[in-house]
Amino acid sequence: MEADDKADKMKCEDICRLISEYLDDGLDLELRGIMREHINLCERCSALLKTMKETISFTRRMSETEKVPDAVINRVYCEIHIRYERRIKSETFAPPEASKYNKKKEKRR
Amino acid sequence: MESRQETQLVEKARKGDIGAFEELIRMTGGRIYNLGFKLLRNKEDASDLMQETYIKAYEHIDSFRGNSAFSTWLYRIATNLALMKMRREKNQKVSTDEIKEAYDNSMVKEMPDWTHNPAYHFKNQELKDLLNRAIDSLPSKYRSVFVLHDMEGFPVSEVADMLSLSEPAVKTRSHRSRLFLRERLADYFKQGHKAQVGGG
Repeated sequence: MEADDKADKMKCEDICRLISEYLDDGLDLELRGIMREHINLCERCSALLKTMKETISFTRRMSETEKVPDAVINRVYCEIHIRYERRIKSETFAPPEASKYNKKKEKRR
Repeated sequence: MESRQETQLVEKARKGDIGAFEELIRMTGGRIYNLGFKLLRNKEDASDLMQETYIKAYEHIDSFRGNSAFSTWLYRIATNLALMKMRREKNQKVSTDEIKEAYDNSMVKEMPDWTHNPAYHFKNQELKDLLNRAIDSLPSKYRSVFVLHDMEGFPVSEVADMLSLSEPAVKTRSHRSRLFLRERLADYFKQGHKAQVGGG
């Protein structure tokens, strides 16, 4: 009975404000139940629910996965290799002063 | 959740194993490229975004703490790079006000149930094009949330984390984007399949 009262008090504006959370299962069971009751009785809100659901499902189905072109993957590998080589070079050819300093620092530890 | 294989590869890559990093690219590259394609809406920009994302990840792999999956960390890098690009270009065709208007319209305007309209089916290319243009026209702050939450399926909490937003902000943007796209579809069916998308 109490739920019926709450369903009566729920307005179409409330449904519109909460419909996304309703679809995302982000509401507690009681509120979901009240919304469900209102939607079942209200043509406008029932249409809102159906069209929102379909809009989401349509865009989700549209997000087909594109295959990454091999040339793009190769370009990424190449850029990473350039940075890798740079890193190796900078480690191998670190200035001798710096190396000495680091060795002293290590000894002190 | 991060797979054990991914964790091991990240550890190796952190120690300078370039082969491990290449394997991580192979495993996650498709998702990052597709995310770029959905956010930036063209293949060339998606390729550039993918490249920039992995360069940044390679250079900052030491700062990856493992609090989230490596792929989530990559998503965060890619999304932020894409957002910077979108903000720089400001190429959205509709304003934030128009998105809010769609929200207000939904409160007052009655919209028919078009889900039984014979033109509503997934093979309708015109409908796909219309929706693509509508997504394309979303302002960057709405598009990023819509793509991550609705197209990529990330929960609100993760989208909030990726975009450094509060959860209520993500929910509001997602809700308004959905209502905006739904309104575009409603216009299409109302105007005998000749709806125009965008501000002009």
